[in-house]
Amino acid sequence: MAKIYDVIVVGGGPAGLAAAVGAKEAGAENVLIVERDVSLGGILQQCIHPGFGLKYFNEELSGPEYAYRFIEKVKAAGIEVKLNTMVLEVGEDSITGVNPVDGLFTAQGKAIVLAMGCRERTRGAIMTPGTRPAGVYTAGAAQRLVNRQNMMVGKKVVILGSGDIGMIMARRMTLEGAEVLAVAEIMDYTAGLTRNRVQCLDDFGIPLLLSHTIVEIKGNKRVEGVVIAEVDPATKQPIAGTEKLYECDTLLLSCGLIPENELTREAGIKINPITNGPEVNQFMQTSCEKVFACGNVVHVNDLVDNVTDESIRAGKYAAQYALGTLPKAAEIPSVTGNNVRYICPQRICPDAPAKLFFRAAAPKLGVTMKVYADDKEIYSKKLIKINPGEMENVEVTPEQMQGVSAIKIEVI
Amino acid sequence: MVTKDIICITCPQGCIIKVSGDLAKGEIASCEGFKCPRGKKYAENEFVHPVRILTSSVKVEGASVPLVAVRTSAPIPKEMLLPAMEEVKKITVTAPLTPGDVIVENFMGTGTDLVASGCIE
Repeated sequence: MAKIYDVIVVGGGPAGLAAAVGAKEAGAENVLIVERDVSLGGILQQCIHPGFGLKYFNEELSGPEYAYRFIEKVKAAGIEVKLNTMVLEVGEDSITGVNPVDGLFTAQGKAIVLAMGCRERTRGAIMTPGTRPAGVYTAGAAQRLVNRQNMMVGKKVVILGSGDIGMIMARRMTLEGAEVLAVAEIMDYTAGLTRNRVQCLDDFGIPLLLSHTIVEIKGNKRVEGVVIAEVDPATKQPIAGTEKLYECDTLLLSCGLIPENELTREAGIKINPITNGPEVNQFMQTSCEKVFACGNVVHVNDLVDNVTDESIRAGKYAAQYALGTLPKAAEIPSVTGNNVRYICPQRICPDAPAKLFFRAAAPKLGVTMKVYADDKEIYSKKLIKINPGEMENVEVTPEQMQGVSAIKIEVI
Repeated sequence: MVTKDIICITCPQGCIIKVSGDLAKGEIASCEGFKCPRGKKYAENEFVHPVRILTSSVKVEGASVPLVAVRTSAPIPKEMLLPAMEEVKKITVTAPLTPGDVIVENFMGTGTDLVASGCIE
């Protein structure tokens, strides 16, 4: 008879590694990680810059160092790994995959954890007009080429979007000998973390053009330049007469990340329209009770440390589900109030404590975060500032949720 | 006496720390607005002499991949980042390597080592 795994984890990046370790620690005996790349670690392997692990390991690590620690844990725990393996379908208690060793195969699991991460928004997705020359890369693709494959992508660079990867690539390209002319950002604030603006742009004198976007890409075979224009902060529409040509050979795009949920959709699991990831409860359980999800496939995180925490929990609860010890109860929704873009988890089991992660819709200084159980205020905290690029969290207890029909968060 | 508003880069909170002191003598009179000891240390360093961790990659022989990630084991003076990249360019290492393996001791006289940050089997 074929082996039945307690927990199968789809994806071997930071989320998948932590989920597998979490599942094992919570008592799951047979755990399998399925990864499509040639090695474990996911995007961390190309994130050679420092800044990882301050929360989780209490020291500043590079991406590969952070990944290494978890890969060692996975090895020590005796977790089975299938590399070079593409999962084609997630069923209710199995996955179907393909690789050069097993061919097409099905693996049975009592619980499944989705940890596929996310991918970058491309030029097509943001509809930048102009010709279609070589030299237009997403920032992460350029990062992989430069940091892992020893291929320099260009000499004179413009970056569109001030996401963390874009700013980190601005620094990387500068260190590797390229000239970064500017980072253009359509919003009137930085999309990524403030510390990245300081150490990646300010340190090297790279101009950050807020409320600016690219209105045309020029060049036939290779990028020859981009036209940048100021936008109206309210409408985000380019202002005529402000166009300026930047002569460059490369354009990097850092315009946001999209959770990679083709498998999730195929499996009929409910997707949240704001996060573009599966809706979950605080156990990271999706609308299909045997399927859990964690990390950037659920909602795009700014810190790998948060992904690790969340994924260890997802692994733990998936193990409990497999072992039949996870409580099952009626759930209540979490509701977004003023200036809250989304809350994750979207559903809460009121019998257990829940940590609610949320992002603001717009940046603001001197705000108060308030949590309501129905109409009753149960928590209030003053914050110096709130920024959509930086995730906030608050905990609610079973006592606060007794007999309540919804939990609401607002920022005023 | 000079006062600088320094945005801390140690963690994502990005605290704004006010440091005053005498730049010529490298003396700090006051440091306010930090929320942790790391932040205090960062702001004081940044006031007197900014330092950064340098990360890059170097060529590797005897492995299936062309590069291995490297870093300085501790921050180095900020103005040394670009000259240090010129040195990093010249280095080739041999597999296997695990994170922490020293590649260059006392890198460019900074007192910190250049170490592997990736794992190459």
